[in-house]
Amino acid sequence: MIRSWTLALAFAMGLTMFSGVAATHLVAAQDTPTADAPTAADPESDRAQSFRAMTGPATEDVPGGALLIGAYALVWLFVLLLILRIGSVSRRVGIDLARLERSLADHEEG
Amino acid sequence: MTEPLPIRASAPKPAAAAQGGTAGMLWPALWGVTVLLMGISLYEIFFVAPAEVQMGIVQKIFYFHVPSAYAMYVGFVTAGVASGVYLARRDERWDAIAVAGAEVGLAFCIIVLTTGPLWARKAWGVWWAWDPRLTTTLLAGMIYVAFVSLRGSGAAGQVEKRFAAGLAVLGLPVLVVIHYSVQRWRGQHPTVITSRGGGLAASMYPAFFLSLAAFTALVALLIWARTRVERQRQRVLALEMLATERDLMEGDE
Repeated sequence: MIRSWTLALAFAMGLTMFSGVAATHLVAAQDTPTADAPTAADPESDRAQSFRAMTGPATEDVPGGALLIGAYALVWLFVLLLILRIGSVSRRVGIDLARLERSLADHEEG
Repeated sequence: MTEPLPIRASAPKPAAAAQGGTAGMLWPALWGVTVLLMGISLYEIFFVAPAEVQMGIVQKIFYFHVPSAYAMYVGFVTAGVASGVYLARRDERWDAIAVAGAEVGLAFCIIVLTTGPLWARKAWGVWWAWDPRLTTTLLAGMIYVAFVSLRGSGAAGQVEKRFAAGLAVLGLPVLVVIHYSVQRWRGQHPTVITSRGGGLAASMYPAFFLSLAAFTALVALLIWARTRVERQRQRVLALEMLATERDLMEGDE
């Protein structure tokens, strides 16, 4: 049951990859700048030609320091989770190994 | 579920033997180098490297976002190459390296995909954009999620192992696509470091290269540790097969 589920998941992932790469290529091909839709690559000309009213809050404060600390914390959170996983697998394997070696040694002696 | 694991010359050694010799000396040395480099790079990033003139302090995410991406490449390439060798030779040592590379690479892929949006929120005004590099990185991550899903339980049979190895090999071309996606498809992802010389200020290079060295040591350390554990897990499977043959596993659950 688990095997067929994981195989299906793996197949879906592969299919997603190919369709995603194709979609990325298509989107990139269509994403050419036009006169009606100024892009982020040319913000100066957009600002020079029109003034537009802001929607939403009048001021927006994106705290760079908090984002930086958050990013650094995330790096170590994921590294720590990986280390904990390695430790957990190692501990479990160690217990199994000791049990099996003991069983086999007892069998040899008996 | 689990098919017999052949016990042969490549069978994993006990933990005590694996830790001896050169490996036993290299292991603490690599730990020491990693911790030292991490400490120095931390100081360089937060106290020495200047803030960027337009983005401000948030640009410093670059110093661990890019090395994380590099560590992701190292992990995934390790998994892909080791899987290719495993498919050719059916040697369990390469399978262990592939599992280690995929897991470690995936961890760094998650780091890349979470630290990037934090920078993008400030620089682009959005958390995520379907930029070619971001999209292909996400797709590469999904391929190795499939690999880790197949192999994570540790009870994979030969069919799952070969299928997962095929996935890892399939992931290698995607890594090339990620690398060249910005140049080829002109996304909005920055390309500061290029072969023609980058747009990085001279005073920013020490922090960047120190961080790159620290992450190189860290990814090597993690792949090594995970490979050792996977070799031990292979030994457990081999001993379980031996015990089953001798009827020692009855009622043992």
